[in-house]
Amino acid sequence: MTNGERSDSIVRGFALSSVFWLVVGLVVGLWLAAEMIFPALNLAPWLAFGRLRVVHTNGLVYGFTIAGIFAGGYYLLEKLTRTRLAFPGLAKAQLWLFNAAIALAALSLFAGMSTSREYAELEWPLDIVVAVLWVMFAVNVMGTLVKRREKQMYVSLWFLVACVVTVAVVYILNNLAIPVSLTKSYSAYAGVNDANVQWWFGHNAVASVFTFPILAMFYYFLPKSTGLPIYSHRLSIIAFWSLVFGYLWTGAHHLMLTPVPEWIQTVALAFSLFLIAPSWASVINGFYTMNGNWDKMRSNYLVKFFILGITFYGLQTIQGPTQAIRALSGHLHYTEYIPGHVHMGTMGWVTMVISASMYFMMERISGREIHSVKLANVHFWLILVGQLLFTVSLWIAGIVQGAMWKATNPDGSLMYTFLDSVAAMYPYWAVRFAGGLLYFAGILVFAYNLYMTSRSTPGTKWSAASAAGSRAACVPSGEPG
Amino acid sequence: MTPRALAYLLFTLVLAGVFAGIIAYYFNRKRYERVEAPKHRMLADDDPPPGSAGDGREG
Repeated sequence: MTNGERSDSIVRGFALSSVFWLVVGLVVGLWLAAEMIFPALNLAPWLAFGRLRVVHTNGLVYGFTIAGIFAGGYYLLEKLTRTRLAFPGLAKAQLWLFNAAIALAALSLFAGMSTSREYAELEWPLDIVVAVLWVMFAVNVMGTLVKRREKQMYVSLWFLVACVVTVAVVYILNNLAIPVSLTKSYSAYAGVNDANVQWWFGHNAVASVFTFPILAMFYYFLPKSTGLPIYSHRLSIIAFWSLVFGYLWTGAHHLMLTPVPEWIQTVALAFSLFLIAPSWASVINGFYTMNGNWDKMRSNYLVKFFILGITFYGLQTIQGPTQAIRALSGHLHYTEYIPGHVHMGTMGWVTMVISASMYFMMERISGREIHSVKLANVHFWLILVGQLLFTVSLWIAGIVQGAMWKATNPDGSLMYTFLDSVAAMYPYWAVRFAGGLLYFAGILVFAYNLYMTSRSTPGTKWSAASAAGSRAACVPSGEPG
Repeated sequence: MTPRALAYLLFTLVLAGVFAGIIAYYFNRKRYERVEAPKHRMLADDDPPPGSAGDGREG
């Protein structure tokens, strides 16, 4: 599809919205990280940790990631179906409603209106808006698939459909609630059932938002960026079906060693370990796609993002299932290890793939080459180093924390008080904050580079040949690209 | 075995059977060419053909 056609403005709108909410979410995240080291920054009530944390998670899950999914989803949907969006006007309305909803969501969470259910904190009026937004997206995706001109569906479309269906199911079922006022509601479930449904949602939100659509983008944009077909389409389809079969059973691994029935915990543990196989099928597919062409890591700036992204996905999907093992869960749950694990997935896998996909899309939408390959490389290295500092320091912190909580004296009394374990965290929190600063700097570079690429200023018209040439030219001999 | 336990077992076996069927279908040598074809076609020029529905309207 060439520059200026129907869905370009919609994709551009969602891409820029995504980056805007990414910056907002990271500013809040940095403030939170600073609060850990300087508790005086905990300025209650609006800037209290409890409120800011949900603004951070919701802003980045729903603001950044979902907008990135809308942008990438609509782009690859048109390309792979070889037709236009079924309802472009609806998608445009969706863009405006989406941004209004995220702004309202942020305000309501800042104001303390929260259901207190993780990743489902929005109160019921906003839940209805989210459901309407998702229906708008689903209607466009399904409508476009129905009128597609390509009979066989490439695996990215399968993953996109899975995203549409599973987000709808888990979000609606978990958010069933009884409203008592415009700003307050209570869950339709109670006790252990409530916890079980909540974490069935919580973990499948990870599948539906951080896995299916990001894999859809990975399977589309890596081959498109390199000109190399994926190693095995049938392996990708088996990976897809295995994830679909396995993911829905894993939520209770968040509830290990709790009053949830033990057999439910065991089922969740078994399926969590099973998921290593389909996850690594995609990792292997990505690596084998590059087989014999690893030089592209140096000559094509996009490839680094995709390959490091899938590498972090692979590490994440080893770490996650092993954390579900009871003995490890008993040691690591509720410690800093868990945010370390989550942030490898979000700051490594999700953001790397969405960033690279946006560079790819924006070049073609604007009809121009990327504003600066050098800045894209600076962006890559800053977020890579920032993410590693952030996550590795938290893994170590979590192991230390868990060990301190469980250490006992010969007489059986606790060796450390809880406050001892808090004091021991300060050096790790400082490193985490430094990593976050580096990461944020990288994202600012990304936002600037993407915005400049999206502008309709005079420049070199994009073409595959010129873009490839410029990428190669911007990589000094002997330096990584 | 209670009826409920039996139902769980049957449901599990049906799911496992469907899953095995999917793997057997996609890894059947007869279908190799057909199953792998989309990965090559997605690399081809993906401009929609002229005259497709809604041609030329900015969304």
